[in-house]
Amino acid sequence: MPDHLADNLPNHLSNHLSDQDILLLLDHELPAARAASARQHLAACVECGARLASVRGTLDAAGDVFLRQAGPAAPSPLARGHLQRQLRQRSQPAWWRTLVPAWPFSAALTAALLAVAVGLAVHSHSTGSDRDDDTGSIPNLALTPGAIRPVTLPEICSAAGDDDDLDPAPPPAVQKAVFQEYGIAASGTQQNYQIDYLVNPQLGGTGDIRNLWPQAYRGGIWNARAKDQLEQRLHQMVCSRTIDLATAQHEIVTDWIGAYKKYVQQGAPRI
Amino acid sequence: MSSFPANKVIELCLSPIREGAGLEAEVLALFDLLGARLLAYAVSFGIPVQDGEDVVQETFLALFQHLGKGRSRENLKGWLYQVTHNLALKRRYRRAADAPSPGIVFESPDPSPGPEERLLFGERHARLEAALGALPPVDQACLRLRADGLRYREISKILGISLGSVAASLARSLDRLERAERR
Repeated sequence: MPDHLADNLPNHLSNHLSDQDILLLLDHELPAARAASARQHLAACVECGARLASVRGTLDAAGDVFLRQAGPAAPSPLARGHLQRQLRQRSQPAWWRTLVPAWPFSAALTAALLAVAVGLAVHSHSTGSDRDDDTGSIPNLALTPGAIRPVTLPEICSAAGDDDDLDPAPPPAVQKAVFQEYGIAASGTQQNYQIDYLVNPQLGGTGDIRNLWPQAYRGGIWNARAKDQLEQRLHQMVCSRTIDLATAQHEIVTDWIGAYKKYVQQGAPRI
Repeated sequence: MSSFPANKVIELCLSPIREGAGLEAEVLALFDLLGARLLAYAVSFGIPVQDGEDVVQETFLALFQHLGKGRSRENLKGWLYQVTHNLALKRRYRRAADAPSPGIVFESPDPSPGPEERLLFGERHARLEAALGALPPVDQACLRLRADGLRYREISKILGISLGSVAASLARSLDRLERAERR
């Protein structure tokens, strides 16, 4: 900013405000005495008043740019649900640690409760079940939290063809990585599992490893075929505008078995 | 059987649950309030959106732990930005160090203004956006954190620079933005 000759102002107000002073004043960072002096100067100096308005305008415009950039980068609908589940998991150990020392269990009862806890931990890693009940094949959400990409309805609803075209098999290297993550030996077991998308591409899911998990074809009723039925149903509902895409994604990630019972049919799947 | 009175046992069982539930609600409320801004800040380090989402998740889980340990609640917003900053930097360094895995594609939207945006928001916005993108990383970070409502003291702590450097950086950025607008 070029130097200006002082106007007919009192001595202590004769110096115009520097850009840095204006910035500090705008951001309430000037010490109180200097801020008061600066405001007094602004009240009398048209030029500095105009300069302050200009600085504010430029910085506000920059803020608008950042705000607009933040819009498309908003957390995905899955993110809040995922955080909530993680927070609940972190709450449980504290509750357990407080309960056990406070309650004089017998050794047998303590062992039984620990067995339940271990069973729950194993269940969260399970990729299939021979039991004909609700505790079927669900992914380990710590390994497979889901991953989506921005999509439009015309994009996902205009695709035609059979399911294999719409949900391409991930590359062999990625499949191997998924098996390794889940502790499943790759050799001789591929025919028993489908590397499935947690959120399938037809619903905006990506091929990111965080969206892939090994699901058993056979072994229990809640298998890959049942999930395929759910995916087709949700895709149909999204494209007919019966539910929105974010809801479909949320449902499939948080509880795909519950979603099957809600959107396909109550009870066991038709296989 | 237990010699504890029933209500005390229930209280012992429920109090951590209530505490956990209260903290959970608090953390989720802050996520609703600041999640988008923190994600934008994380992505501004040049990491994909999905990595940015991971960073934001880790930040709020760290907050849960921080509050659960009864640590200071003073200036949680500044604390969240600082943790996001550190985690995003680590994630960026890790991605630079790791060899890319074949066949895995990370999707991320292109933030630069396209022709439609230029039409909608005008050339001024487009010039500003280009000028912002051309700022050195520290200057961009100072401006972004200021736009997100952080005070200079908070910005200096997050970025590890002095208060005077924050003020100087903002003045420098202002000069550059104004020159870009005059073109």
